[in-house]
Amino acid sequence: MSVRALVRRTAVAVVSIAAIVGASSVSHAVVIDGWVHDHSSDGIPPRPSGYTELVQTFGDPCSDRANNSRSYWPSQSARNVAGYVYYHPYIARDVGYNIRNHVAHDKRDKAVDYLVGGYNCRYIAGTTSWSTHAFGAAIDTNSARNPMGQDFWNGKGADGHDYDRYLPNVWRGDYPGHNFFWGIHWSRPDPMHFQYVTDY
Amino acid sequence: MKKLLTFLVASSFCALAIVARVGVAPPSAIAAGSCRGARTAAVVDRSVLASGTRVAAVDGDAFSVLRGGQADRVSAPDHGTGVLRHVSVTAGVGTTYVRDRRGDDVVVAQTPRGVRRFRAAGEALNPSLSSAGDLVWAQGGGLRVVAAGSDVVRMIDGPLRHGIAFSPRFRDDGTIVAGIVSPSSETASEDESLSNLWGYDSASDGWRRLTDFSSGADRWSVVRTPFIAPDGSVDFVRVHGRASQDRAPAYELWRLQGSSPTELRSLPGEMYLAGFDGSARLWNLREGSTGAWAIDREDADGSFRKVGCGAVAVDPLDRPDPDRRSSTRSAGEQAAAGAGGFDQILVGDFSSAGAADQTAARINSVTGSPATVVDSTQASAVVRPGVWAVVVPITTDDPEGDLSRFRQALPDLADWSWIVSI
Repeated sequence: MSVRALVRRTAVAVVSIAAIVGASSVSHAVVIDGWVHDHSSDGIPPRPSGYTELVQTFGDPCSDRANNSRSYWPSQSARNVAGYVYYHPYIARDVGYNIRNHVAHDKRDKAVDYLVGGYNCRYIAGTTSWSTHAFGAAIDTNSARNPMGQDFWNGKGADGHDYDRYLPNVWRGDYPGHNFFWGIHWSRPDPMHFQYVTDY
Repeated sequence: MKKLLTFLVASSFCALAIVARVGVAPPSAIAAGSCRGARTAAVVDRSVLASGTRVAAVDGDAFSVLRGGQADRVSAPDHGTGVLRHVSVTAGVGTTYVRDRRGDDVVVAQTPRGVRRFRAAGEALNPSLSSAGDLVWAQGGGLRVVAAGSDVVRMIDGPLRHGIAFSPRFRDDGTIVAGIVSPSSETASEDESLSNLWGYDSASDGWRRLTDFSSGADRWSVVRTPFIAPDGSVDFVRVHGRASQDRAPAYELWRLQGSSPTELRSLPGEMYLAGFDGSARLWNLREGSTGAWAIDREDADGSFRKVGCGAVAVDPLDRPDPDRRSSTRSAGEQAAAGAGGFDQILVGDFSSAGAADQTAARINSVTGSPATVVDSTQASAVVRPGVWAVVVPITTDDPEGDLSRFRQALPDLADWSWIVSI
């Protein structure tokens, strides 16, 4: 099958089935009336550990499955420019329903700052190991303020306000959290990085 | 219906923001028998590592040393702690490898003179020995070199500020060839967009780029597992693809003769050089999800046959990287029943409610499933403002299977359908 959408450095291609989509991508905080977390095993499924469980759960790296889900995030591609983030359906409910709505429900969309990313078919630099992003099993958030190698979390959001560890606390943690593993405590800290697998 | 492209403003991070959907699974690697299973006990036989006469690979907590069509398990001579990684044998000189530990790694060299250990301040990658017994490994953006007979570690800065060095190898002329990851112009992240082979000449203390691969915001190109071929050239694997594509990247075998790189051929799938057995190339092939690596020998007729198991220059996958080890496990199994969130197939985006209505009607007529048009006021987490989408409920406990069946039934919507939770 041919590639349907190609991307240039400064552009995101959005293809409509029927017609052009060219509307504003300004983020809007929306109160989710009546929304509650889904903390069932569907909402927060078991988190795999190690390479074997990672592949058994998410499939091969760079596979068609790895980007079959999406949700819409504020400041995804630039400050106050919202956009879609793609990832594996295994974490669809946790990311797209629990976490995204959690942030919106708390009226903390401005805590999110660019860049926010999910699926990415790439290697870990200098290794033969695939990034967890290649499995659709990881999300980077507030990347510009939290580059790899930085051993602390910069909680400043898109509005410049310091939200402290609000976002990491939403992403990480065991029940009743959302159970993503945070890369900040690795030997080479990766504060932007939250992955749904451990020991890899 | 007419398809058009609209380009919206985005940032340099767009590689993570977009997706090119091609729906092709990665090609299978060359078949090989299972390398996962009961292992025989390792024996202490330091002579075979010290002499460097046989190819060695990391196999769990010991080495697998190839001997004809068989393999012996040999204990690591340093009796250290940490995960064994990146073993390299130089004929008649010895064997070197990394003890990968949380934080500072240890580089171990076993030669007829004995076992030497060098503590690296950080992550050590891919040590190797020259024919004269000099030792080199990659660390950070540069190299570390220990002259034969010396215990003094010399630092060599890399050619690129904020670059990452890997896989250094001595060439016959005494120069060193190494992979160098170019620093990203974007936010520093773990992912690699571009690497090239560079040469270091100790006489001039200078670096020279030997390959000229390039990358873009979405397009990436990396070099991996360079090995010195019997004729003195450098064989290596180049891998290139697009970050947004959901299919396996392209693998190619290249040769660097002098300073001229040439593509020898495409490779059938994910495979990395593991050295040479005489004039025959050895390859490491990943064995599915097992985390095991097979070693295949490429015969003169181009055929491959399995000759052993273990990781040579590749990262072992059956042991967690100590730098990324976690002590916490999932709490998902203990989670209580939730109260919301239903998986649905979302098709979109549409620029008008009318276009979405038409597609919803077609979905309903083809699949019999109810199809509902939504916008950002109803599904703000998955639909952006100003557009419309169609959602179809998933009624089974197999959302991915439902999506697959939906795409088969409506192939023209395959590239624009996702699983979402609303």
